[in-house]
Amino acid sequence: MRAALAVFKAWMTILRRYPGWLFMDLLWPFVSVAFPVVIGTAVAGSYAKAVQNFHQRLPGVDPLAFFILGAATMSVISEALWRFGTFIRWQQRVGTLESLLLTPADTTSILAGISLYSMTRAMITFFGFITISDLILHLGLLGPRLLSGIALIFLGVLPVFGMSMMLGVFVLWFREVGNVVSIVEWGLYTISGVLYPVWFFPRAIRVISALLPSTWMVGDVRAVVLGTQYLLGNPVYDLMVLGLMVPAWLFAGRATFGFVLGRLKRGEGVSRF
Amino acid sequence: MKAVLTRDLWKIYVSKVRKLFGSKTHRVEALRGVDLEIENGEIYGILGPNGAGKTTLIKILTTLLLPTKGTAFVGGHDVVREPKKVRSSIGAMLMGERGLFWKLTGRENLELFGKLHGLGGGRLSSRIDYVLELLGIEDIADRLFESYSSGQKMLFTFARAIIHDPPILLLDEPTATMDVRNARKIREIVKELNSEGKTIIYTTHQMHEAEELCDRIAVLDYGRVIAEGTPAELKSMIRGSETVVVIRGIIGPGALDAVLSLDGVKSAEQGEEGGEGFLRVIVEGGSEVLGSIIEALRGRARIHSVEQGVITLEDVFMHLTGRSLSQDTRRGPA
Repeated sequence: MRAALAVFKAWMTILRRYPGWLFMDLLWPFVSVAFPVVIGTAVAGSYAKAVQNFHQRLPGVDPLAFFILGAATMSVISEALWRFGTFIRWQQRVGTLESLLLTPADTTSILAGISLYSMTRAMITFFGFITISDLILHLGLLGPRLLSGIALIFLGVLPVFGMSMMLGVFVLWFREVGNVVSIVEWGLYTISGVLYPVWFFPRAIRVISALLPSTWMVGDVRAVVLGTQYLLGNPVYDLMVLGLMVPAWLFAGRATFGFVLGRLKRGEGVSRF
Repeated sequence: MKAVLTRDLWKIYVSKVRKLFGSKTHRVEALRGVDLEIENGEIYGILGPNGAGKTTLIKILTTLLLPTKGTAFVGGHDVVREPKKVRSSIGAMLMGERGLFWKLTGRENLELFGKLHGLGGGRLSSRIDYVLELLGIEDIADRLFESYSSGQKMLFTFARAIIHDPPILLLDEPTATMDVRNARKIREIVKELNSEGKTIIYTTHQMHEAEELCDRIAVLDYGRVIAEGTPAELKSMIRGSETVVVIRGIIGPGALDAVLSLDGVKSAEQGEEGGEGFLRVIVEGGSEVLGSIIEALRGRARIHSVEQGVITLEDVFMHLTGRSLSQDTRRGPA
């Protein structure tokens, strides 16, 4: 725990020195919301027609609130994934990954410290984005139901950290982070239902979506805050699925990470990049 | 073997360690069966050219790499089975000035790594103060690491290696990018830490460092230990009928090859010192060989002086391999 807090504190110190990073974090969800709105308007011919089209699928739901909540939740997921991948790659390049591995601290503790840092940074972005959006658009997102949504995010982000460990494995294995993270991010962005509810996807894609914690996070946060449909139609079932994903993804992520780290040590080590 | 080793706390033992890199089609054998036994409280030097396998060996001893074959114990702990215990007992410096967070200050870096080694509270603060003072870097400790000069970064990296007061230190060319003054400071501190009882492994390709610091030295070449002993024992290997001759002057092209082709010349190295060229030649035979050398250099060099050289570890390496220590051997044996 001490090691995790030490890593967390070190990274928060760095973040404090570079507040511009938070500003850049905040821009991303705005772009994410603008993207479907602009495309929808362009396809429909006007914003009003685009809203009509949207309401054919999701009657009674404000499309802006729908996209904003999806983008805000996705920014948390994206931060968790991006932070891990870039952390590992960055440390590998500057040499600090070996320094960290030279200490007796558990790799899990170090990764937990990074997770805590990325979660803090993600929640700053989440709150910042929701607050600014709500102040401008008066969507009524800031309220007690948002607290339930945040509780869901805290539960859902745990299996996302399992996914991010697997992404870390990719980065270590293929010695590449930019393209890998971009592909994973945009893939998840599409397949997790940020732009459209996942039940409109073809069956094969829905199966893949259902295996991803990001899908359940995005869908359930919207269900809690906006009153849209839960993925399994019942909050208890959805929570059970998300709850089962926590140990499954965390175990799979940690085991894969440990396995690849061992493989690298048997080969040329983690310092080759 | 393990039962014996665990009694010998802090001892370092390496047996038949091999390390293979690369794919199935292009294998490189970085270590080819290394055996070492390092006593408690020793400064043990590992001398060899670039590519000899020094860093690979150190990385195995620090658990950053796993050996392909063989066993290694550090502080009585198996590097494969007990990596965490090994890491608890060592301090290592093996990435030069890399290895610290550039966006943190020197002090913040030491705090972080101290905590990762299990230190905290007053003990951590007092260790940080002690180490900063020891290295004379307390005045710059609150600057960002990225703002330091190369030598200062090396000093902080050294500070990171000793922050937790480990009984064993593994230092991989710690003075490589330091200026003369800081390098001397590091050597003095290494001696001081050793006098406190710490076991130190010190890799270098600078002979004077190895001679000044090390109780014993292993000469590593192409992944094998080709000689081991105290500096005096190693130097005695080229006593007897062999002599080191240093020829100073303007050494022209072809001079080295001409000398190397002579009977009685075991090895030769060409270099420059103080703006003057020199040839350092190990000869077997004495004056008759010297005469042939001077004859061979006619027209190829303008000789200013000829003197008998003091035998150095560089000469030992040349005697053993026929090559200079400064030669890069990363491509493997010819």
